[in-house]
Amino acid sequence: MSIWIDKNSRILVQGMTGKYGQYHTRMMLEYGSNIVAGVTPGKGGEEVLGVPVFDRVEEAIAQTGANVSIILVPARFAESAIFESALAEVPLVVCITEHIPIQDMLRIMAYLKDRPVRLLGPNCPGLITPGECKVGIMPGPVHIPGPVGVVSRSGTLTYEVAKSLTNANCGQSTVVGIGGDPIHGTNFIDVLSAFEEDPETKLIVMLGEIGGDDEEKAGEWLKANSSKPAIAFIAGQTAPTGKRMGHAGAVIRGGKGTAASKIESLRDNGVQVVRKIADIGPLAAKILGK
Amino acid sequence: MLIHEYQAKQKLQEYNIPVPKSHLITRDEEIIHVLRKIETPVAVIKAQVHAGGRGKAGGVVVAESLLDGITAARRLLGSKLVTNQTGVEGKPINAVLVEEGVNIDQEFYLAFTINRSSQCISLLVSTAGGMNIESKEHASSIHQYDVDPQIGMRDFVAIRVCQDLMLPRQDWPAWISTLQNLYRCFTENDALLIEINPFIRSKEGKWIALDAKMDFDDNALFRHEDLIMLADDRQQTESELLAAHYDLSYVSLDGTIGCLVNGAGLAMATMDAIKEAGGEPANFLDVGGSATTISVANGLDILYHDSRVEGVFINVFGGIVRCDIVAEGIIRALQKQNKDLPIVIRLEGNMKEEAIEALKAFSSNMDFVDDLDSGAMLIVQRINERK
Repeated sequence: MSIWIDKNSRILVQGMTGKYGQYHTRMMLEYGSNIVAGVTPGKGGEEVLGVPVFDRVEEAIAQTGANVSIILVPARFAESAIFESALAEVPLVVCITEHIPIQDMLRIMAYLKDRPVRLLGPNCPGLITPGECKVGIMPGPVHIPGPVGVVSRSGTLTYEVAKSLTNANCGQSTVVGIGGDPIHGTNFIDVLSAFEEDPETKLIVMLGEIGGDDEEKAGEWLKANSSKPAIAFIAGQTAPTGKRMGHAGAVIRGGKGTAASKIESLRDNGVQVVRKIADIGPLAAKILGK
Repeated sequence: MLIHEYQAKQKLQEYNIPVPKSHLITRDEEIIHVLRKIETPVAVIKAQVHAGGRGKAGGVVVAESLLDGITAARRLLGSKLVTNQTGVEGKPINAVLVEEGVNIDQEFYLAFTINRSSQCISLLVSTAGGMNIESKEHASSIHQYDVDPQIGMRDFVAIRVCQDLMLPRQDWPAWISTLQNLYRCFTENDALLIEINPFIRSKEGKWIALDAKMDFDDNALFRHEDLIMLADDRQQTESELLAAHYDLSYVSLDGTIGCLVNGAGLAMATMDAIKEAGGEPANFLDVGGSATTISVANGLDILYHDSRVEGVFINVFGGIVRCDIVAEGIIRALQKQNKDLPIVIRLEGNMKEEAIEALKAFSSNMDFVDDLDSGAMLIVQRINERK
């Protein structure tokens, strides 16, 4: 089992015909993901990598039954691309695109409020259910199937952790990157709730970073609602106040959002916080009795 | 993107929000000429830098005589201002704003910002305006309102604010229009922060923005050509400028170990590991999750340009990126350098062996490690060995 995507997911790629879109479409196809359609306005009727291209999302869904969309378009076209999938009520929209203006995201989030659409991202690596389906840009081979649910605000740091888990023979149920932007569609708690309901997920690994208070809220949620053990790592313990550390959302303001306060809050809520990424694999193995 | 106070005040005027009468000085020769134009008993001399904390750092002077004004303006113009927000190097003062004095009756704090937890634009107001708003005892006096993007800053929303602040009715019209104009300024310019502190009532009963800070969304600048013109490169360090030019994410820190990493989260974790190993990172540098030959080469250029850097740790988790491409970037950058710094490299991903072969053939001065923590420990050791 897994959350949100599996071998039956029918994927459509918005922005499939561009260089970046084609590259990652090929990588997803090679992983075994079931990509059924591409959408690029003006390129309808073409075929790329054996996948039919449509002008609009609605057409693509009508003809292929796609139920997951991945967005690989440049930032200035991303707002429109997300709206198009949201309007067509695609249940899961994964936005990889980074550098989307924040006020575009505010409009999108206001619109999504009462709709049956989950947005993952933006500025995220996507998600992967190892051995079944990859909707994202992460390297497939560092993952193996298993009982660990991973949720993260980061990209490459998540790959690093997946490798640590895989090396310790702790496979993953689903690995979800929620993205590094301050305004994002899916938060830690959304993912943690899904892991709680997934019987195959036995252990949760959460990767946070400085900025905001999502990690603190997630810790409180875990204590109140979760029956599963959790391990966490917080990046940015050495980050200075007031500077954005790459991710638009990774900034300490007025003494709030520091790694120290997140670590303390998570520990208070019963989460095991590790100081080194490399400790995650061995600790997971110990908890799972491997 | 931050802009200067004087530019922010021009923006406010575009949106019909009153500011004090003022003049900008950029050359010593203008000082006397400008100060003589001031008609009020006092003049306020304000250093124009991209940082807060100016008042406490001596960057804002209330001059009660012409001589005081000249002395203050001369001292500030062309010097560097060090505040609690600038770091030890300070920021250059290339312009000084001279304003007419205002008789303050009451000070307020007023700001629009992005609220990440409610996913709205938020309005923050307080009757405790002035220099101490960020102190803890005042935090509780701040009223916060989330503005529903579909409703906007309507009259009834603004009236609620007036009521909460217990403003007399005659002040309501000025506040309603100020809040509405400011909200429009925020949304029309893709702002991240607009702060007026203090927003004051003068003894003559006028409402005036005495100071203004504005930060705009870099990601939205493509649709605001007028804002791009307001950028001031001189407020950034050379390394920051170079990084911006190369489109890399860079933050200068106080240590000696340069780090080059792909991905922001991994870059932060790498800094943490260096600290854990007893070293101090000189910077945060993210060359992008999918590192390229060019981004790696440019990133190394920045590190080698920084005279404080005593050693370099390169940590690239390739995954989907090929390691030989990364190695090519490293070689391309080092061919141009004659500085002999210890380098520790950690590469992960496809073509790792080929990449390490190529790097070893290029230079014998590099160490290769398999994971982040041992890399951090080794670079600290290599630097210590040279001391």
